[in-house]
Amino acid sequence: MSFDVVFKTYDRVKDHVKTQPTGSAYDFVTQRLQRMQVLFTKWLEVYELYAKGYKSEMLSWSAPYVIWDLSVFGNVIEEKLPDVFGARMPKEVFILVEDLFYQLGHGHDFYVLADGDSFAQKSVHDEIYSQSLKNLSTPRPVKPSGEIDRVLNSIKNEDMVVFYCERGQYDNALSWPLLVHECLHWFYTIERLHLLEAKCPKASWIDEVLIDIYVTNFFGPAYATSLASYLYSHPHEETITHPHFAVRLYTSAKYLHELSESPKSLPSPLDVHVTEALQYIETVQKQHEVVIEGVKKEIDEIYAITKQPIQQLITAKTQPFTAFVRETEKQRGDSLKLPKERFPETHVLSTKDVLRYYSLGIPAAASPRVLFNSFISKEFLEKGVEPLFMKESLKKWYVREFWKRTIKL
Amino acid sequence: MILSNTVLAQNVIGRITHGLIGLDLFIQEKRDNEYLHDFLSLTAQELGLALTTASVRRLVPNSHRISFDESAELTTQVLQTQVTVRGIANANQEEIDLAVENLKKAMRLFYELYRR
Repeated sequence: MSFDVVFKTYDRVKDHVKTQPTGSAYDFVTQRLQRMQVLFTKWLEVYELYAKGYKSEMLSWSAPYVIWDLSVFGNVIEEKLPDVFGARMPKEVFILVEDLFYQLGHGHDFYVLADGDSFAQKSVHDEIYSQSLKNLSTPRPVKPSGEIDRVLNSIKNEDMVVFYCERGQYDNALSWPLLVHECLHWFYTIERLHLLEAKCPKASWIDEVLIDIYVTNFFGPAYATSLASYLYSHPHEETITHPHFAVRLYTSAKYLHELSESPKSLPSPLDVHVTEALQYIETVQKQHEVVIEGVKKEIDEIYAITKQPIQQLITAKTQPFTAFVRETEKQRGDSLKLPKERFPETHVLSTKDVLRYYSLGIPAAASPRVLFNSFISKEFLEKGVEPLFMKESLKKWYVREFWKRTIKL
Repeated sequence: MILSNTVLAQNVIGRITHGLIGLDLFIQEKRDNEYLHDFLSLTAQELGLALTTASVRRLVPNSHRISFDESAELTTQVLQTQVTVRGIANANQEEIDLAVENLKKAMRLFYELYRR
């Protein structure tokens, strides 16, 4: 039985990688997809070296099984190509994620968005080394093994993180903020969230809860309503490292309770909408009362211990949500006083403006945090929002920010 | 975190394949080898995940149709084979042949699931 068939298959897969569409209206997206092409080619190179290693063994009856396994290796890459290069999630969602990294002062050229089975994140190197090849020794003889390490190191040096968006959610714009949680996983240590773990009761999923507290304080109620609407349609069970989604929702809802109890913390109409959002969340939570009851005390304790420190961590980088929306209102007022010739690139939009634009069918160049938090009222939580409006609004905001920065230069 | 893609299942199949390579080389060379060690690192929990999570459904479409009996049988066979491999230096021909057959059966089941 010949291994040549495997090499031929890999050659075809390489061609498929090369011909993947990378073009996008946004250069930064195109460049990253091109980098993914390079990484996929190198990924395949690793498998090719494995195949060469197996070929050099004196295999007898096991050869057909090895060939089958190697062919499956190729299939795995084939399957990933449409998820990355043909992802249905609009490219404008990159703009939402870019804003997060910009606000937190992190580099942002290290990731792509892809379709996946759920909202998740994994780097290419981690997928190959820690998952695909985990516990699989490099094939003998030793010579190609050195080559395998060389290619793996080069993948590590040029690594990209893939943020997976659940494939069915591409047109459910209200679910897109769930990506912010995934992004925070990559900055968990840099943002020093891990230091808070020691102060909290022990839980295998403590990182998930701390990230949720961070994201809700940063992104605002829209993150909690994303969790709620997602849980509504995906009544998840817990896993070892992830608490039940209802637990995560309970954590985030605590922030909304605080907002609704101090009405002056939010400008109108957010002050009213946050109460409606809370009612929606409580309806969803009722379905999971037993789960929440089991960890309520623990979560309350974690929240009480970490709320202030997390807000301080955010403030060190950018504004927490409440300060941000108040500042936005102030800037909006100031921008309206500017001479008309400086309008509209300096015009700052509030949630009220976004809702007005939405009713007129005109995309609104609002900051992503303002944009998504404009749709937390009962009305929109029940009927959703037009994904095209969200997509075009993010695009408009990106272009406006681009011009603003160019003018400053 | 449970992986929600095919890579986990691919890795499990890879280690069963290494079990086959290891036994093939052992029969020819009469010595222990790294491939057998890779196979021994496979746990019942990993097998269970590969057979039941969303990850395998993508690699092995319709694997959710695997019956409890099939899944339990596969796990038992793989674990029995690991016992033989651990004491392979003292195993007789019959035990080694059974180990080979068990792993071939495991691979066939994955293959069958792939086509099911």
